[in-house]
Amino acid sequence: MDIRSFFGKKSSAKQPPANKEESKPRKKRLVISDSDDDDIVEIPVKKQKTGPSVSKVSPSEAKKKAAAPVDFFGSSKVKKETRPVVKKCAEPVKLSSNNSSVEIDDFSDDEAFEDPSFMDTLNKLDKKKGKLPQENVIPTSSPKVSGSLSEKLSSKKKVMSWKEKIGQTDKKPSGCEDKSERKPSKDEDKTGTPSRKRPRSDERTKQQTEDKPKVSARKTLNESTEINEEVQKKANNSGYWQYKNREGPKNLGSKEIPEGAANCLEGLTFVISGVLDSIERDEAAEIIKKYGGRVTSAVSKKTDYLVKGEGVGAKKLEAAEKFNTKQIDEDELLEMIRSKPGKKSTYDIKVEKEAAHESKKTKAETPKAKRELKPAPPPSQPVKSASQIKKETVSIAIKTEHNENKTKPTIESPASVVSWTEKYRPTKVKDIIGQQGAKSNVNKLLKWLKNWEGWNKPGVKAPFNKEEGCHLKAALLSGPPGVGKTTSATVCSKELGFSYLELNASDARNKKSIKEHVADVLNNHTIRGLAERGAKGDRHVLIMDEVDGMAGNEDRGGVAELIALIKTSRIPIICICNDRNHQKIRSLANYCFDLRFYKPRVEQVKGAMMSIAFKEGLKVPPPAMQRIIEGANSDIRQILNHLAVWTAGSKTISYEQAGKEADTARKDMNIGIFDIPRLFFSNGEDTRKYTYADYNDLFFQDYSMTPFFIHENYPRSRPARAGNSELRSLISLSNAADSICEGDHVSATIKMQNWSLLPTQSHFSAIMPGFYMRGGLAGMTSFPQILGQTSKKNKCDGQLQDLLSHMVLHVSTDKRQLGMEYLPLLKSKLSKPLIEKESDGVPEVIETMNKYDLQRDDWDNIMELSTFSTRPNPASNLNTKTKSAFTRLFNKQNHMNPYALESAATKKKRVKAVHLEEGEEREESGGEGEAEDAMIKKPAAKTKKAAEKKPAAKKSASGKHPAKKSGR
Amino acid sequence: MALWVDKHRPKSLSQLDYHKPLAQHLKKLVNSGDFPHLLVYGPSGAGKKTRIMCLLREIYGAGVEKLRIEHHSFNTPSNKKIEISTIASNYHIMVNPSDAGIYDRVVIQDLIKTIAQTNQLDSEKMREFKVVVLTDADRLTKDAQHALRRTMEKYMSKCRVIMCTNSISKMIPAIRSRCLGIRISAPNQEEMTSVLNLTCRKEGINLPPELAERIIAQSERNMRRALLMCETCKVQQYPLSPDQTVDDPDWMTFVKQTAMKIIEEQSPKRLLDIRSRLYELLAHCIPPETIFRTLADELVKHCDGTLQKKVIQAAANYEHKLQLGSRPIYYLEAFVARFMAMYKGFIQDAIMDFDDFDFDES
Repeated sequence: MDIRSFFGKKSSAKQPPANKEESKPRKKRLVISDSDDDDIVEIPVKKQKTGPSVSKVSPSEAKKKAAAPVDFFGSSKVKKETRPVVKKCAEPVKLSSNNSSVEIDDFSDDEAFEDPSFMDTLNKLDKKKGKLPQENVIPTSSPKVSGSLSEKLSSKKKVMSWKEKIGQTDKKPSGCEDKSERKPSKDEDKTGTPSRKRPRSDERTKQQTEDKPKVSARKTLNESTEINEEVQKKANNSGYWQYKNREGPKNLGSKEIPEGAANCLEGLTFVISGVLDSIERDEAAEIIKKYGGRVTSAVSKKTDYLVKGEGVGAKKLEAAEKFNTKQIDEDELLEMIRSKPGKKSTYDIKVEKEAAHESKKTKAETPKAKRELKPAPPPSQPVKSASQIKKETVSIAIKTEHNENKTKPTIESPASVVSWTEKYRPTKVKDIIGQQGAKSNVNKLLKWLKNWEGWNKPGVKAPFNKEEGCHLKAALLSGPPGVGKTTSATVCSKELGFSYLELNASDARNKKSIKEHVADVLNNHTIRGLAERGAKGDRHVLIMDEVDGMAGNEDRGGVAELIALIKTSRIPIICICNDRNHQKIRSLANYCFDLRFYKPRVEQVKGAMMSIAFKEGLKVPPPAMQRIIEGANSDIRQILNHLAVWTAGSKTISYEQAGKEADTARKDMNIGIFDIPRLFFSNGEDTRKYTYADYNDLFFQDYSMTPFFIHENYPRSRPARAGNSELRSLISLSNAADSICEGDHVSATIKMQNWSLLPTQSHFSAIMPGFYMRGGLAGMTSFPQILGQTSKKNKCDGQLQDLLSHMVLHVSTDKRQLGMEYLPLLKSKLSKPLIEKESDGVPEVIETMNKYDLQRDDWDNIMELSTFSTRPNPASNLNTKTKSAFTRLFNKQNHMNPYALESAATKKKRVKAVHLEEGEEREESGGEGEAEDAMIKKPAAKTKKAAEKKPAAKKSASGKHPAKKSGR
Repeated sequence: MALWVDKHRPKSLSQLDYHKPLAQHLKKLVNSGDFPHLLVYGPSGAGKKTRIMCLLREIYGAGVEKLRIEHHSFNTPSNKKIEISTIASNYHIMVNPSDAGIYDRVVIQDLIKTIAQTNQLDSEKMREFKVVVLTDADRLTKDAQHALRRTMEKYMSKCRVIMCTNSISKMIPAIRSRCLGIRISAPNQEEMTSVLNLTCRKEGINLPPELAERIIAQSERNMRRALLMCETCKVQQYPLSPDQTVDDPDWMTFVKQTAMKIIEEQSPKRLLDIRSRLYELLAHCIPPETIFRTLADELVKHCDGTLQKKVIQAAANYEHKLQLGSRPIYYLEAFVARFMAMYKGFIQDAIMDFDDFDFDES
């Protein structure tokens, strides 16, 4: 039952290799932590040479052994932790302990020496922008100590100080930490934490007293910079960018992550802020979660610890002060894990209790049962038989709880054929996860069902009540998959003694079948119902599952028919769908009692899942379960399926394994198209671990739109690789643009059915621009203009083509030359007289237009096509009087055209013809202006207007433009 | 009233103002009774179509001037309906197959084949063959050009093809070898001056020689543009004065402003501004090639020797790439981005080595 018992077993098997490994990392840790330049607090530790520091490790080691043996040195774990940095630093490890102590001495001296220069840079930096993480510390002494330390110079110091400086300049104080706080986050700390309150070993306290001066030294320096706060505010913006582009942990992987006792952090809440020294923030959060701790993003009363890192958020510090939250740094966190005693998870305790309770019960019932499983409630006989009877009368498949009833006997055998989702499907209302509250959807549904008959009696006028849905004959359950919609519907009907008929997407549900079959069913009385309750006591429910799947040709008219059905129904109808805002559902939703299901909280799911795991005999640590739940996005069905699969081999699953599996499962989730460019250009933590394949997958989330989105947004990203150099960022920009061009070549080839080139396009159109411009998008992701602009271009192209086809007999040019050379002149020829001479210029303009066989519409097109945004359209300079005079005169004249006004006329003709058929001609005839056709008009020649039109329209057949009626 | 450029267009070979030896040559060719397929090429505004019309008139007489517009519709293999309009007389038909976009092959196969296959009704009075004029032949897709080559040979007896194109570089060699190439070069300064003066005299307008000179300079030896510009000047101010400004067309002004904006500031933000301007140009159907040229010409004015070379090279490179791709905005933008980087580098450090442009890791 206890996780530790499991660990114990395993570790004993792996003892010998574990020992070997164990000694190594310990040494590693010592040495490596020396290279941890920034860690001022740690310096005294290192200064104390190997003796003390070894002893510092060893107690925890001892504890560790006592609590949970070293099974964590299993192969996978080691792999994970060996990072390049570790390898680099690994050489001293090989030395004997004596040698290494010398080495360490050197290193620590360096660091001590480093302090002044480090503080200098830090100070400068602080002055410049950063907020001061250490503001709150009380200054106690002078910076002398560092000076004295500096005497212990070693040969390596120069190198180190150089490194130090690099590190410092690279470091980005996060000015806008608060912005990031929305993310589940993990800022961290490697600078000293002054307000340490946790009791520690003697050595620790000694160290503390020693490093106090140093910390305070820094403090005094920092205080002087406080004055510059205003400047800092101004720097917030740049700080934000630096935050976005800030680097990861400096000494990534340099520290051994200790193995603590299981659940040692349970009940504790952590907030991580800043960049930790050796662990990634999410990794740190991971570790905390692994030991049962909670990681939140903002400091609150309930927060127990604030884990601080480099560039800790000022707001968080403030809040921590306010709530008296303990502030610790990375090492203290690790120490805590190492030293805290383990606990038995509350979940385990709860589950065990429950199990014990149930086992007693079941033993009483079925003494044979070896493994206690939750007994299914006795089958509700009347319901079943009722539905069976129905099944015979109705051709459509009826789903009963047949399966459930059948499977009950098999539950006993461990190799049950039934999937867990079916096995543990709730059968009672109170078993439904997350639906216990009085205002929960299930309760609402129950109430609604219960009262349905009362409200829908003939003669009763149901009051309008949105909360209870009294006036509605149907309910619509909507929500994401796996939250228990179908279960709620079936369980509720069972609970109230309704028999139900379920139709889902596997049944044909078009207009006809609904009308013929379902409608009959609704009017049926079941024989049993008649027998038991008499003629009026028949109670059944129609459950329409997956109504949003009622689409396509198969189910044509289904939704409309369903609505009609609802209106006349004599029984309650429960509709179920995923997407309530779907086009098809929207009309249905108006007739339904709207019940929206939301995802249950992780805690709600966790309890239930833990008990199922227990019943199945699985060993799943609660944190691992949490990972699985998070990975499945609280989709209960998926969680159960995952659990079943992952534990198919062995009955246990570790935290790491669960995390890995959950991550792979998570990757299948959809990313919105607006997030894709953000991820491509993001330099933040969300994509830090992205591999090439991940980016490739990202592209294939929507391979048709992603290139456009990338192209639209790439100049909005600030390339981190360019630093502050404008030239370099322009070069990156140019490189990205080049790559997009290459991508376009590939896409041109793809259009010739070379679809296998899509990954190549992904490389050029998205991944490379992302690579060059990585650094974070400023502002919102914009929608690509190229689509709108292309259709605009096509429209203009069509206009030009029309224009040319009108003018073609008189000009000798092509479309493009027409637009570029003729139009500017034509524009002034056609607009100038109107502007200068107003109405008197009209004949002149019309003469020119006639010469080129132009239409009135062409005039507008010419103005539009030849005008750029920098100059106003001459059409807007015309006064309305001139314009209408122009239109009137133009329409009055007869224009001989060498072309037929085909498109407009034919279109109108068709529309008209339809209208005539439907007898709506009269209303329409007034509105139609130009190009009315006599052929259509003839039958409706009653109106005077039509009679007039006739000759004109006839002429139009022989190439004459019909007079326009309505001036514009 | 029609524009000058159309009103005073020469109608017969003997009326042509320049390239007179060529006109003589064509006349002789026609009078000999038969002539091969022709491939007329030359820069825009040199007088290709004018000469083709003169030639047709020479062959068939005034009948070719009775033009009508015809609409044809075709079904593509994918059953898409495309419509195309042609200009035809009794003797010839003028088609621009590229109006059908990527379906131009269907036009070639259907339309031209049908025309080529039908005999002239009255071959005694008329010539035995009809003429198909293909305009914008360089915009024909490769497929269409291949479809054309066999047709040209097979129906030689009944049909002559005259192709009109700006450049023969996009014509496949098979087509080129089947045609007699006729190059119509752009008129030189004197020829243009005489045409302008002649036109103005016909219109009864006095054209100051200084103005004529500037118009010619600005028209880039494009006769059509020169005449249109000349008339624009007249519309704007009459009588014409020697120091009158000759306005660029709006689009050209717009491109020039865009170039200035690039010179003013080089930054990603400015690139976004430029992008929207480029979109506007493209939406006005200004060919991307023209934008490239005008933009590069403008930008080069602000660069010195070594950089000039690079800019032109870049422009040519991107224009070439554009031909292979499908979305002009990418290439225009990439050119602008490249120029910005080069210009910035040039300003900051004039001796920067631009050959090794990719300073990624340097």
